[in-house]
Amino acid sequence: MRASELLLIAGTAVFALVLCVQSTDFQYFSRQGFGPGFVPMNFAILTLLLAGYLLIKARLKADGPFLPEKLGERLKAAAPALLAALLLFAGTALMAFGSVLAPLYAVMVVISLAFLGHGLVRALVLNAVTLAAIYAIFSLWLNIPVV
Amino acid sequence: MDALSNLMMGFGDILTPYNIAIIFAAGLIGTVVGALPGLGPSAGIALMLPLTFGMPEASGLCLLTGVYMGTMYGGRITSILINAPGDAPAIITALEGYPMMQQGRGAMALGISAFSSFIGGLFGLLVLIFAAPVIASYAIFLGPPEYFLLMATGLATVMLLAGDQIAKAFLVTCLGVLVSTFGSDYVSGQIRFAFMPELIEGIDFVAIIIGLYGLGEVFYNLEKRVKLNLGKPGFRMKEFIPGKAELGEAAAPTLRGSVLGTLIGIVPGAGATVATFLDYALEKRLSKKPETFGTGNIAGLAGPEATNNAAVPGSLIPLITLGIPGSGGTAIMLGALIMFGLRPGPLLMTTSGDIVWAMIAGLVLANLFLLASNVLLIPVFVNLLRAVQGNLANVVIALCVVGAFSLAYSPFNIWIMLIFGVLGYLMKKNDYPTGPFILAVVLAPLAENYFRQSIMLGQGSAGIFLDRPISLTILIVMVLIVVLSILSQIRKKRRMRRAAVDGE
Repeated sequence: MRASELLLIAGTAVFALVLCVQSTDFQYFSRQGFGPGFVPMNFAILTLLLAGYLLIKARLKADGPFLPEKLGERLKAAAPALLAALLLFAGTALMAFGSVLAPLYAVMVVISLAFLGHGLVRALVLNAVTLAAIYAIFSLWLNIPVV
Repeated sequence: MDALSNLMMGFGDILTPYNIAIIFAAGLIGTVVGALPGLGPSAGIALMLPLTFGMPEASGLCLLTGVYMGTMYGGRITSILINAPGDAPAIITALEGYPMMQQGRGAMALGISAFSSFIGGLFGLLVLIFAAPVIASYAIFLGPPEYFLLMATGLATVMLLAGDQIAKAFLVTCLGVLVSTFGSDYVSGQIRFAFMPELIEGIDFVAIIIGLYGLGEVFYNLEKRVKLNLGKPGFRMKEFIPGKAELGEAAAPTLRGSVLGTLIGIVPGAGATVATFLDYALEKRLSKKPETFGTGNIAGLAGPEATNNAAVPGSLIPLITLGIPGSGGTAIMLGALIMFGLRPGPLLMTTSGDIVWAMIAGLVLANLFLLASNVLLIPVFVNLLRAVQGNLANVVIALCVVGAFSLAYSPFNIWIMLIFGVLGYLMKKNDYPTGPFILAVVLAPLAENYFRQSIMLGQGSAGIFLDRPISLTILIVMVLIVVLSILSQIRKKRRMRRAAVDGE
């Protein structure tokens, strides 16, 4: 099984488990029908069952080892996507200081340099032009307060 | 004939240079706003509402309905070109349009979708003009059981969207339902899973769509080091005007989509999203090559596009005749009608018929303008994409981030978009279908509410779904969809087994 699929199924299962436990705080039945706990609890249980089924199916079908091997190589292959995601998470955290466009610009420049093969000047200019166009549309024209 | 003479009267009112300019501008503005991730019809109409203050009623309403129609045209542009649907009805467009773009047929996909959108919009308008009061009178017989079954029928299309991955599709559907349970429970008023204050209103599905499709695609392409090669900017008509073969392939799906879109658009609450998913499932079911769906199938693109645009006039029918808004866009339109001093409801056509007919005439004109402008703008959009293809990943990231921010002017939706971007990347990497997930996110809250309301109406008994003739009919259709899908899967597996045996 691929590490990414294992992560997806495990993440889904944990999410479902949390909601399943939390949904016990809500009524399952109400006076004339079902309460707010009915849908989340049933679907959380169903999600857990399906996640288990997919894991067992993958285990039975697997010709080689069930757990992913050569994790280092796989991580290296997935590095551009993972790093881009991490950069965006970090950039979004920096948006708490008040600006959306400044951290976004920094992230875009790093992505340009690291993954798109742009030179420094090209990365700086291209992304500045892109953000200027977006600022003009969203902020100046549509009055959405993006700064 | 009354309808025709009323329509002519409406045209008489709006055919002034001022109104024509407003309708044309509204269509263009709507196209651009609809093309921006995060901004759909509701945002488009809401943003333009202040401009209508002080305008004559007919002109103001023409502006708003023109923007509404334009956003539906515009939604398909980013769906096809960068796989970033701006709103839920444009998701299906991305499923077929984006693969066409990857094959170098993006301009053709835009051309086909523009023509299908036009036919769909025109059909919906014809129904609006000639049959609005009659159809609307039937809509009042629909109650929670019928609405629930309609939503459930939409959800049943998961079977058709799943392909060979039924278990994976069910898992992501359940995940979608769970995601949709965050926030206020409309029946009891309780707040569910509000781990932080921003979650009290639930998770905005537009942020989910932007992340899942736009950002998920960027992450995947960065990992695979995909480099687009769309060539240099050019202006060949052949690239975007569909030929006889393409139009022939798109004709029947467009007509089917137009009928379905209008009918479902009329049902308040269902709207264009359910209609496009149902139409896509229908086209896949009717296709002789269902395996080509998801790889750039023209029928799969044309049908839902027509459906999407036919649903706009369809959704105006209950608004105008009964005062019931069927979607976010029409809810804002309802506010606009009240703002202009009109009283939406059964008497609107009698008391303010001149304004309503002027608005309908404006919609006919907007639809014509939109076809012309959208076809003429295809080279602009495609060449814009060609010009930025070297930096496309960053353009999409910037549009997604700013689009998500613009939903509530806060970074919270950017976090949501990022989380679902990672989910979209993981799903794409491991062949988990995204259609069922998003369908569940959009339809599950409505389905849950209507289901629980129905059970309350039935005083705890589920027999209410069988007692009412319309709900029984919808139930039979839903069962048919599920049974036919299972049979088709069994037949397909048998065929594959036979082929494998013959091969040996």
